[in-house]
Amino acid sequence: MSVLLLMCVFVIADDPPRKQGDAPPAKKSDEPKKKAKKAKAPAGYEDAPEAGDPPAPRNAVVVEALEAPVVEGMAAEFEQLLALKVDANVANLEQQFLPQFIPLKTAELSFINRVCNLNLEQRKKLHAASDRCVKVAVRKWAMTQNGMRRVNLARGQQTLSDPTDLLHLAFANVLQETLQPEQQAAYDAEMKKREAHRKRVAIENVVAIIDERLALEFDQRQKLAESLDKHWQPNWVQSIEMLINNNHHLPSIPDQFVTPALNETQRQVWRTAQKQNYMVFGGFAWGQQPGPVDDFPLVENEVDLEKPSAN
Amino acid sequence: MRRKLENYRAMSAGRIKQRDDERLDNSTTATRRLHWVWLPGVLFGLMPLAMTSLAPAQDKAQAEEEELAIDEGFNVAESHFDQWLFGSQSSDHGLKRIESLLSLKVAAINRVCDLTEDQVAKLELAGQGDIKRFSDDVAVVRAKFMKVRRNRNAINNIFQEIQPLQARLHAGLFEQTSFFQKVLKRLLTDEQSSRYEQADWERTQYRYNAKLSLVVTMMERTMPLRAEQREQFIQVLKEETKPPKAFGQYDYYFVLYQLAEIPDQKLKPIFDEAQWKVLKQFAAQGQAMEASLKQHKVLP
Repeated sequence: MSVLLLMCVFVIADDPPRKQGDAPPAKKSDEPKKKAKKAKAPAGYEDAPEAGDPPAPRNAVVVEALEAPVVEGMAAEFEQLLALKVDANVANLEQQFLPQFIPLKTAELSFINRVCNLNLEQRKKLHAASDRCVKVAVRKWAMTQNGMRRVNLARGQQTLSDPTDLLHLAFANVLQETLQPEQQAAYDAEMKKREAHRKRVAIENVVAIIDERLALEFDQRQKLAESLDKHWQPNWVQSIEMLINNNHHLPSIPDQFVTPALNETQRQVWRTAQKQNYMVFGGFAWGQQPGPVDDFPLVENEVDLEKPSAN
Repeated sequence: MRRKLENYRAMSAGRIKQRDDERLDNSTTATRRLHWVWLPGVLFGLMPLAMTSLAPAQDKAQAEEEELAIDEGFNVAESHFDQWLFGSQSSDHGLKRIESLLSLKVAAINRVCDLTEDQVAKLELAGQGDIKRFSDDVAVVRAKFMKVRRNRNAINNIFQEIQPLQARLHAGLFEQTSFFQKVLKRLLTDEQSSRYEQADWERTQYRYNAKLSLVVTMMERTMPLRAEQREQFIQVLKEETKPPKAFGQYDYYFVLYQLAEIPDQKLKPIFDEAQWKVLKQFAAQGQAMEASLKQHKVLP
């Protein structure tokens, strides 16, 4: 008789099968405790440098606002888009991205209402058209994503529009039909300023990333920012969210727009460094976004938007 | 007579021997019978104690068996370790990038502070010390990775060990607690220090201001702002928040955490009621990340 030893048999459930070589998912962090109210500066940061603007740059970076989107012919293009019979990949992508576009639509309708001070009839008209506009934007996004997955991205031949820009393009036609001229002018002015801001944000963060890797001087940062502003291409940063912490790769910008601002050592590092386009497949929302601003009243008794108390 | 006596004695001896043998046999048999009676009882009685004392050793042995067990068809190539850590296919390439960053950093300080040759040499040596320290830590984790790269369960634990190394790399090996910074502080004259701090402040502010604008842009996905509101909001953030001691992957949440600390009277006038509600949700997200920010040493 064999030796009397009981062995416990542990059955370990297998993880769902993963592809070989894929990084395992990171564990979720523990549930944080509710914190009590603290002093103004985070503890340990009392001696940190004061926030504020750095010394005024010698040559200000002038960011020119982009032109307003071309609207003519867009309505026909969008109808053709919606009429297309798409393949299963695109249909799946549409299903995947639609839930992300809906809160964008809600927020943007509220924005248009603030900027243009719409009346009830205008809001109803926009609301009635909004679902179709979202479908157009989602289809365009999905088709571009699907196309990019098949194209060699190193050639950089595809440009993925920002989802908010796609929505505004989709709304452009119905806005032209709905808004009064002064409302349209106010809306166009705000959109120009927003696009100019986004371009400036992209350039400043790209310069900051290059600075971190190449240790630029003050003058070099300014010179580089000017060069990028002059020659900026949207496909250099196709997803602005990717700039927030993806700074261990340099951006994929042609050498001729960067190297004139660098010294010889920095040029050597730039030329041999790995670069990327800051694009993302899949979702564009960063983390878990709060619910969108949603005040687009459609009831008979209009509710005035609460104006800011002081500007 | 004598022969009879001898025969008798022989016969008696034989009988005694036989008797003794029989007694011995009986005794052995009885003993054996006794063993079969008490031994299982003792074993069963002692078994829980034996299991308890043997359990840690068994668990360890079993754990080691599992750790080294090979899952058929599962094999993570060594290059994946380098990809996860350095973002490149080879550690040589990754380490060369770090060394080039050291050269650039020393050159940048030299431009600002006009270092002597001796100062440059000492700084480079200190930086090499930081690289060596990091490489040694990487080697330890790499050795563990090589042991478990064919085990589906164990590979998860290794990735938890790689992440702190990644964080160190992205935060920069020559910042804050590095040999490089310690040597730099002792090496520079007062005048050089002043110039260096000014340049460093400018760089940090540029980078932080760019991040603030980026965070606001990201928030505008769900809370679009008019141009005037946007500029005012960014200005308040610049005045009321501070840059992190080291930039990294938690910059977004670090800004949101500080957003929660800004007094309402400085922010509320900028937004209307619906925007204010969404803004408070962003601030709440930042506060909820406090534990993670402390865990990753973004907050003390």
